[in-house]
Amino acid sequence: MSPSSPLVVQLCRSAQDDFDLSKLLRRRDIQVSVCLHADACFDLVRQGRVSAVILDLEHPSATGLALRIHLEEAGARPIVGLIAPEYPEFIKNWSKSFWIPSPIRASAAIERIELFIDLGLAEAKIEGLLLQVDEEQQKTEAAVRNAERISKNVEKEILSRTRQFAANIQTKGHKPSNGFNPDHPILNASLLNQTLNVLPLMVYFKDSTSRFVYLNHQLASFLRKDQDEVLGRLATSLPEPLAGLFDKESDDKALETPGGIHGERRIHLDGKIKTLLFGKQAFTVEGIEKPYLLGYGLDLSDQKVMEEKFSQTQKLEALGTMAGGIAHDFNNLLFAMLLNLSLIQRSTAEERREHYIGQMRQACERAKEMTGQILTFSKQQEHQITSVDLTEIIDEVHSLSRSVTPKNIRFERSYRCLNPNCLADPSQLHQVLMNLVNNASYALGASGGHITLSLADIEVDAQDHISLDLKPGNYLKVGVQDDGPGIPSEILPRIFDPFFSTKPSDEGTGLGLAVAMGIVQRSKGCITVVSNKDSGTRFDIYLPQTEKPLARGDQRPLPLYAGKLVGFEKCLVVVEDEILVLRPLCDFLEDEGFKVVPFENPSLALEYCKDHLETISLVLTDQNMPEMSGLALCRQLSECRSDLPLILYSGYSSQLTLELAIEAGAKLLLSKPLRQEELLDAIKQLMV
Amino acid sequence: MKSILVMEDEALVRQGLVELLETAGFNAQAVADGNQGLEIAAKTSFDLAIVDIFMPLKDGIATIMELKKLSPLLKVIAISGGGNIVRDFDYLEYAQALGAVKCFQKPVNPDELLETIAAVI
Repeated sequence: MSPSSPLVVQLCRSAQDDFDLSKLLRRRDIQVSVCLHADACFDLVRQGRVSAVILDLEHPSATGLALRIHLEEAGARPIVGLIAPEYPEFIKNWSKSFWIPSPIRASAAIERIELFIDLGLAEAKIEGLLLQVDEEQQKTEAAVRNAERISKNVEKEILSRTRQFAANIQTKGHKPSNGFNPDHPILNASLLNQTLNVLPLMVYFKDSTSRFVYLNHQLASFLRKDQDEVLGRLATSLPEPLAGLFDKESDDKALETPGGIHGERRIHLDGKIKTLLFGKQAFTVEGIEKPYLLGYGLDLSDQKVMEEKFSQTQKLEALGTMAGGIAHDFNNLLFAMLLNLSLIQRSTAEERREHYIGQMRQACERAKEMTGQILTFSKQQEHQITSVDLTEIIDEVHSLSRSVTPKNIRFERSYRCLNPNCLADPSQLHQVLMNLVNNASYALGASGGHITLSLADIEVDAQDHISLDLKPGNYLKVGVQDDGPGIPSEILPRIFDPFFSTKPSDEGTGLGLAVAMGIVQRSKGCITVVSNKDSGTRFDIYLPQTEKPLARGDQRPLPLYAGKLVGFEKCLVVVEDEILVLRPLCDFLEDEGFKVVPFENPSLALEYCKDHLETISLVLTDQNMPEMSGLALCRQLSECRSDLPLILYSGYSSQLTLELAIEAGAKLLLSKPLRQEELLDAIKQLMV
Repeated sequence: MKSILVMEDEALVRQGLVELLETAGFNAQAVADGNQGLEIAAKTSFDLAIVDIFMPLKDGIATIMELKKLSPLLKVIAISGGGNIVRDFDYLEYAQALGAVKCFQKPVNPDELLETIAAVI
């Protein structure tokens, strides 16, 4: 019954009145309210919703009540039906009243009541219509709003009644079936079934005992089963690895987790790796105590294959661009060297020759820088990925950048995280940040501006992980932001391409951001960039947050190598496995007046040194050698003679830090290629 | 004294070329991109222009085209490091078609370059 159905109030002498209208009228969509007291009855009337009042004149207050109602304001006045053995004369002139003869003949009485209610309603309608004619124009809008509200109410009512209906079925002992139950409250709409079968998505419902209540065609065909074979069963009836996707344990977890659980799963199926987007969460139906589980799955395998192919193509393209770029830049540098060589040949004045040699050296330095960057870019070997305190690195970058950038560029730092530890290679990360800061200060140019270095922690959830290309989890976000002119939108997509640069070729190689991207991706992170004219450019680096520092990895084993003894009996020992370096290095040192004993093989060097501990004044050793690293050599030598001056130098080993070198007994750590002045200074300093 | 205009964005090459040309007895002037080169060529007359292909702001190809309009008799030698945006397109061939008397792939043998210059002017 809707709230709009007519309300009839009956005044009875007792709760068990002879004539119980309520039973008769309720069947006809008429509400009946029974009152034993006239006052209660009158109160209802005054509320204005009563269509008819039925009074038994044998009730002591009936006549009085009838009069009171008759004297009420016309608009709110209900029809009054009087039960009496004879026609009550006093209602003769009353417009809204009628007589129900007693003893009552139920059917006739009901007919009369309904007739008069209809009459009353019609009358009320006419009155209402007359009023409406005047007010209609002003009320149109209000009426529309009202209609909407009413329709919502009706909807609500329908919903609540449907639920109530479902609850009734439940309480009447209608147990949920283990199989497919077409009358199930969540499934009774065939529309739902149709919709779910049209979606390109696997969908299922389970009850709280983890049994399938529903699954759509897509899921059934993924499982290679008929729907009926699965319905009402636990996932344990499925073969592995499918069973694992629908296991009770994770169902229970999903039921307990607010918002459910969502994420990517990889399974081996029929010899292929399938990537699936999976999720499940609880939902409740009003009137049913236990929650149900809604699950979905999406097969991303094809998409992943496409992505991989695409990224391969991109890699090849990048390689092409890179090879072209390297060729171009190296050709330029080689040309510069050739030109200067030619000039050296032609020139007689010593001063000019020095100048040309200087130019050649510059070209070499540039080439060296490039190879360094290319190495970093292409290095596929292990990296020193450790737990790094990002605030330390940002502080270093901050102080270093401040000293090398013009004073009109101002730096700011903001740290907003409790745990600044992440997994990364500290020296490479340093390089990445320096690169971003350099780009920012380049963008700010002569006019200056602000560069903000920020650190914050962020949780990447299932929603973000697609846009950010990160696995869900806790990350640290390092921001480098400038308020410069921004990057033009047409070149923004290309900035991470190797050799793409807006700087003149002698100011940038175009490798910086490509290298940065590679480094960050190898640390399982990502870089994003936002840029526009008004607010400048912001790079964000996401790196996986860690709880505690990890142990350093072991050094990789070196292949065996048989070297030969080159010289003996001198007092400055040089250990270097590359003969092309060893020879000129020794020549140079001998030219400078040192007595040099060169070794290609560190084991032989160690043997020699042990025999001549007192006559050696210094050992200069390369780090990266077969059989024994420079570090190990230093360690053994310093054990034999702790005050032996040891200089260690290294090409690109990022594993080697000054701390490690000093710990092994080395006094100094130099990097290759060695600069002659630097080397001489170091030797002289240690031999004093 | 014959005068030569060098357009080359790589500073080390630019300086090396100027010094080589001066040593060989030419009057050499150098700029870092095509726009600057065209500006100077409009004011001063040269016997030869050496134009690099990959330059910022205005590349060698566009520069040679405008240079030829500006002074059709000016001899042009094109040089290129290759690579970069080349792919399936031979810029040096294109430069030759535009009227460059000789095109070199870097690194150029300085002696060969000087011989070519001597033969051209």
